[in-house]
Amino acid sequence: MSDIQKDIQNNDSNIKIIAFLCNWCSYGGADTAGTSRLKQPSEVRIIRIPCTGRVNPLFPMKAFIDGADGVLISGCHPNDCHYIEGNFYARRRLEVLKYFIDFMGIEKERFDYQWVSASEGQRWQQLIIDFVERIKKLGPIGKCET
Amino acid sequence: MRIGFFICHCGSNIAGTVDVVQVAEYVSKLPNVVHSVHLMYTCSQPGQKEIVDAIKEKRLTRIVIAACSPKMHEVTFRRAIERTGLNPYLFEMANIREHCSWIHDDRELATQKAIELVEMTIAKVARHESLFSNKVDVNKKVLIIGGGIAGIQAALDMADGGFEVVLVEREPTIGGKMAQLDNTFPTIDCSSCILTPKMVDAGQHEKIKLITYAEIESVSGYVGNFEVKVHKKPPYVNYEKCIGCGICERKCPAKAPNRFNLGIGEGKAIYIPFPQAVPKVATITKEHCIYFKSLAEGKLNRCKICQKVCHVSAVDFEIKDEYINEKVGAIITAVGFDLFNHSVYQEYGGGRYPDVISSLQYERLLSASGPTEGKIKRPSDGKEPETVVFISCVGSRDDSVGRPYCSGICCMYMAKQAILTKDHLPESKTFIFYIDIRAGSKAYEEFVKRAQVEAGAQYIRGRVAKIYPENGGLIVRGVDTLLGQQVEVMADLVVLANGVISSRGSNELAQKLRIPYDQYGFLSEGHPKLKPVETNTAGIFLAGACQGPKDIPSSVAQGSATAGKVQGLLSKDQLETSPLVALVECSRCIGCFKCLKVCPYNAIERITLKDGSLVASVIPTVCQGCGLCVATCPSASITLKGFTDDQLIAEVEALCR
Amino acid sequence: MDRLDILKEKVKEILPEVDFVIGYSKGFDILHPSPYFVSEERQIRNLIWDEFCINNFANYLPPPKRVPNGLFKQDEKIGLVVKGCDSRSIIQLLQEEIIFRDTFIILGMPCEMKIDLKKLREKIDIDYIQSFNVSGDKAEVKTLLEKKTINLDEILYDKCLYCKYPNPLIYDYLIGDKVNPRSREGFYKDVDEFEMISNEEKISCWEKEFDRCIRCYACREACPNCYCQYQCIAQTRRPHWISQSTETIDKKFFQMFRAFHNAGRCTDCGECDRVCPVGIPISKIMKKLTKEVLRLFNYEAGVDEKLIPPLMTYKREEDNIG
Repeated sequence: MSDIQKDIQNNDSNIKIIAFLCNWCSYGGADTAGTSRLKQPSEVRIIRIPCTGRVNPLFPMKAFIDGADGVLISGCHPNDCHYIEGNFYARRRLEVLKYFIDFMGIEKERFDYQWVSASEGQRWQQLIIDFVERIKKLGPIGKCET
Repeated sequence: MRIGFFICHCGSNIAGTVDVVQVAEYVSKLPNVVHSVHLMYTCSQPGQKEIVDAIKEKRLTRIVIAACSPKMHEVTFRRAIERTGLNPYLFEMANIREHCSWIHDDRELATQKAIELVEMTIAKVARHESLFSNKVDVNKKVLIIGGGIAGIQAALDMADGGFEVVLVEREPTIGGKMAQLDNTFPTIDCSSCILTPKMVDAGQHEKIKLITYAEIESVSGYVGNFEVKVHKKPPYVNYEKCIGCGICERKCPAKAPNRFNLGIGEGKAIYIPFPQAVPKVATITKEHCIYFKSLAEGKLNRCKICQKVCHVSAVDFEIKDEYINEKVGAIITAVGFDLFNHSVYQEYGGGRYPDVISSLQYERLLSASGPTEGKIKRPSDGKEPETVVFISCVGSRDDSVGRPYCSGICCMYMAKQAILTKDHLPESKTFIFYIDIRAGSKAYEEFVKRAQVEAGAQYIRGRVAKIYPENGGLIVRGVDTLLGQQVEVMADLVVLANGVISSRGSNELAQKLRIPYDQYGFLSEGHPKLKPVETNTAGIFLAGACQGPKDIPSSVAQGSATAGKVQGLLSKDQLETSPLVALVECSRCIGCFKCLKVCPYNAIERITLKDGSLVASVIPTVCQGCGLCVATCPSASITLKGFTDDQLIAEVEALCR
Repeated sequence: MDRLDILKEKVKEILPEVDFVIGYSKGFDILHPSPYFVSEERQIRNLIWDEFCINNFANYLPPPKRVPNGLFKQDEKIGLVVKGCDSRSIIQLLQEEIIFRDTFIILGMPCEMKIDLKKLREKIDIDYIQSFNVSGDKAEVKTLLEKKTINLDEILYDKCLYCKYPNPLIYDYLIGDKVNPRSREGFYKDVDEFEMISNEEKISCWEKEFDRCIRCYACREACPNCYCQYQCIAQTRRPHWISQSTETIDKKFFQMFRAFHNAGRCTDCGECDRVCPVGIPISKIMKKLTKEVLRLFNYEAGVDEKLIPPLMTYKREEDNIG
């Protein structure tokens, strides 16, 4: 059994991960992974957005407040943004957010932002496997928050 | 609200992993859902018919289809829904194939995930509103930036199709790199013989407005209605009057490096780039002109010889920068490429040895209209070389200089230059140091064979480690990796196969055009396979080597391809714009204008309300719907239609329930 | 001449040019000076300047163009007394083009220190205060019940203890001589320490703090950067970002997004913290953000009028990200 298959097995955990994916690159990347039947753990729920620049940092905050155990945001690679510069703004906002939520009691490892192009199906698969693994290790988000 | 839900089996693609019957049953019990069914193929004609019939019979007001990726069939279903009279934007897809059934094996988990994805989609669709697109008039003129072969081809195809063309070229003449070439592979036909007629056509075509010695200053607007400001640099010669007789150049006393010949041979401060230039006019380079130099030093020199000898009084030292505004419906970018500067290669002399030259310099030596009138004379002493060494991949396939990609054209032009060398100097010997021979197009492999067999070029597989001068010649030391031994060649002339890099200034241009470019500065096409000449910005197209290294046939093909695309676009009188754009709720706007500052498209303006307050407003035809303003607005007064805050919040809440 | 006398003279001088000048006057006791609006010359004598004049008057500057019926009429010109730290708030608002420089006159007050009443209250029962006198680095405090000598460093606001900008960075008139800045070293000590504790401890700590929040929005009202006024998303129904409940989780979310709205904009003026009626250490949250912004973008808010706030711009190659 390959490592990937091992990773994917045994995913009856109660982990919930929300991913915000830009329509042009990463949503397409996740589609490519699907088309290539690249198996992934089932904890991730994808919300489609036009651009990472659309991500108000309040969305990941809200997701954590509502009980998401992990939040992943993914968009086009820098310089490749469909809207030219949306991901550059997103990069600054989300980087600050990462350290801020950590301070507020939401481990920064629960949050990540990445760049995945529409052709990078394999990269998407690996990213999801690693991220889910990471969140599983952290366990459900601190319950005393809710 | 009456929500209709349709889940697709997609044969066994979905139903094989997701229990679609269970999902349909679960969803049927959700609030507001009045219709919930599973269909074998929702996208098929019978599938679409079932959806259409259900909308009519059950008076559905919101539609959710759980099937493949919306990138596949969102448009298909929107059209189907539109046929019923329901607004096509009251619809949303749940992606349970690419994002669920195809990536999971466990039926129970996949079904559970599908249910959650559908619940999320239903939460979103409940907050949809009817949306309507705008129509904008299309300006039927096209701007082409760059007058190389790709730009010329696009310009001629557009003009022949009856469209007005504005062709902007940075240099005083069109022609680009192809004009500097002697002969072309794989046919050894004379470059200028095939290019010049096209240049002349472009210069004389009544539909083509040629603006040379000019660059793009700024671009605003959007597909169908771009506004472009062109900066025409002062040539100090009135192009309207100049007849290109060349007497000024002959009489000019100021020597200057000959740019067209890449520094080989001398030029003058006032010059006509080459005899077939279009337009054939003279231009003064300010930094070499005696008059301007003395003016800068505060002295009054009365050189101005060019002005005195000109029969038509074309020379005018008072010409200032000029800015021309053009309104166009589409833009084709064909700004070409530059050659890698080999001076970073210390082992090849770092640019210090006069007889180690670039491939394009060698083209000028080969050319009958070049500085040596087609006689191969090496730059240092004018001697005819007996041994010429070619070195491939100089600035290509080399991570150490940050150029890991293959430039694509060098293998072929080295073969060509070897053949031409034999042709010019039958007694000469040629050696080609190569890594791999890439000859992957029609008649290319045969051409390389011809260089090897007919021209006797000796191909040595391996890198050159060092070049150093000795006894008036150059020792080229390398390794033959096939024989596994050191090689030393005593050369009279070394020609480097400089790689292709993005054109100087093309990234600044890309930023003005708001199109992306890759890490090497090449402009990015819309899709690597399916949109080779489009960009991700509607109405802006790419042709030729600005997108990546290309030979002449490919550049010409792309020039024509863009013309075809643009003609399709401009054949419409009006364009429909996407309704998925931002909207400012002016009663809530606090007037901080952060949105305006971040908008990449200048799609936000200030408007004054009746009570005198100043608020932001989105121009819906300019807005591209990225949502950057929405995320920036501190008071959440901007909504992005189709992706509103409330919709995304509802999705998050549905998933976290 | 005493700094207050110079101030009074300057106010007298500019009063004809402006509709009024905002300064400080005596409050209900010596520890609580009030903002004071001087519109007539006879009021000038009521102005004061001491260790307790703390309010950040940048918050009084004409609000966004959107609110024509706000506190001031659009064409009013005002003068205001501005400390070093307050001047950063003004620069920040100028950077955001929320206020316009020609609508107000800045009377810049170099500022030695301000006393943090929260810290003072820990040393002595200040409800019966009678006098407070500074001599050297100590303060003689007298109440009805007792008399104490306290080290000033123990009762200064953190922002004063580590004050890098005691002199206004922008002003029309500087009132009196400049004072020496202090070292910034140690300013983020509380943040650094908090970062080191375990996540569970963080959660329970904030849980305790935010449980007390009564959603009075005093923090928001005192913040010069919070100018959305009635449109603040804490209360809007559309979009419905947050419920109006008094659940701790909602109060935490409110504090988090109010803080994040200030990321790259907060100048650590500390007004939110000062006005909080239930003593939530809001400035610790804000300092975390200014610390990260300084680390990531090498940027301090409200220092240079010409700079673009870091979250309103970007670099293609970021220096400290990725």
